[in-house]
Amino acid sequence: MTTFLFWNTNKKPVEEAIAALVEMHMVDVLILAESSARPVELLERLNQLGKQGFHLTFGLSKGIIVFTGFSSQLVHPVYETDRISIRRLALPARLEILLALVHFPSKLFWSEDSQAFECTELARQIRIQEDEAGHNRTVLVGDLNMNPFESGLVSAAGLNAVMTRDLAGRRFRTVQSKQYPFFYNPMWNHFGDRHDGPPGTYYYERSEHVCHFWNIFDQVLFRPDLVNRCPSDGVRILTRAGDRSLLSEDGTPNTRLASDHLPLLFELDL
Amino acid sequence: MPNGNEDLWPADVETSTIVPPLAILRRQAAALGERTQGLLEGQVETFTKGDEFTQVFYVVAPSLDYRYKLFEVRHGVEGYPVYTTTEGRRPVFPRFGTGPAPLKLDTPDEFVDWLKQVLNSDETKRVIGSLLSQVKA
Repeated sequence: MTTFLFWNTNKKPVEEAIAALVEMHMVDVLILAESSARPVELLERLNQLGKQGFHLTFGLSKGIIVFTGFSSQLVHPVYETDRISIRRLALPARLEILLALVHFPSKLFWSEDSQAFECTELARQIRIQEDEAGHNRTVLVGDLNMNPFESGLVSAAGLNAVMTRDLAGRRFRTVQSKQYPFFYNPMWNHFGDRHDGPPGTYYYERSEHVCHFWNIFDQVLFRPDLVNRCPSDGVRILTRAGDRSLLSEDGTPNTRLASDHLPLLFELDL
Repeated sequence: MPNGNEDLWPADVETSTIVPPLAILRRQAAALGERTQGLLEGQVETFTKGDEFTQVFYVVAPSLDYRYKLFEVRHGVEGYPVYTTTEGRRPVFPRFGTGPAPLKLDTPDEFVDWLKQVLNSDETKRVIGSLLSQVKA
């Protein structure tokens, strides 16, 4: 299994929590958004863990940093903007995949319509890179600043991300004679309180008519070709970093000690 | 008596003398290739939606098989005004959204001035510098 960790750290000084998470879950690919850590210092800290040599990978997206437990040459960026980084991950004797890393603008600054349009552009760029790579094995991960049920995520021309493996297994759907490939969005499984994990990755409470309280802005999506390579329990929202809880006493993210987003862990059998 | 077969177009129909945004962007795309001896290239892609044109400017490192989207601008059929944002990121037409206030550039001169600022910005220098280092490594 290859283990990936994504965390929007909200510019908080959480280097020790990151190191604890990497050690605890034996992370192979660490993806950070809004990190305030100096990359070289964090790299030194990760390499003090001693289990594997970590590497800082090349990339120009300002808000996204990637560390790997293997040669950085194996994660090659092919397309980037200031908020998107699409990379080819080609580990020896494993399936090559595309990693689309995203940190979209906050709802404080963009309307839902604008976010949806951005998803359309992202989906287009992913299809271009899939054509160039010659496969459709894409994993999209990041802070989308949208919930799984919002237009940008579910619309055909957007990310076309559906809530079950069966639906994704149909591979694509046709709208107005045009085919749109599916993503599987396992984050739907993480809403509510029927499971052990937290009800979302981001908590937001305001005195207005529509308020979801818990949101799942941090998401991982898989193309159908990768769905069976992720175990059914292979995506987790984390609430502890070592012996330290990332939650306050009321069960919401502890924004005083850590980020307002919770980390996301997922595994893939490549 | 018109028979419907005549050429009804005006005698002086010809290309506009106003330099369109695309031509200005293509010139700078070519200039990047010249300045870096081909290590980096500029690339402009045009998308249309109805009567809106979106011009996207990329920096390409051919040897790395890599493309970075530097900025995009939008305009109508007439070419001007050009809409963008102060950061040169995704522009918002006046009728859209709640994003950053759109910057309206009414003439080629205003567009060239804005473009010069973007190409000379710290952000662009960071991208170009990092890519050149990577290409030469």
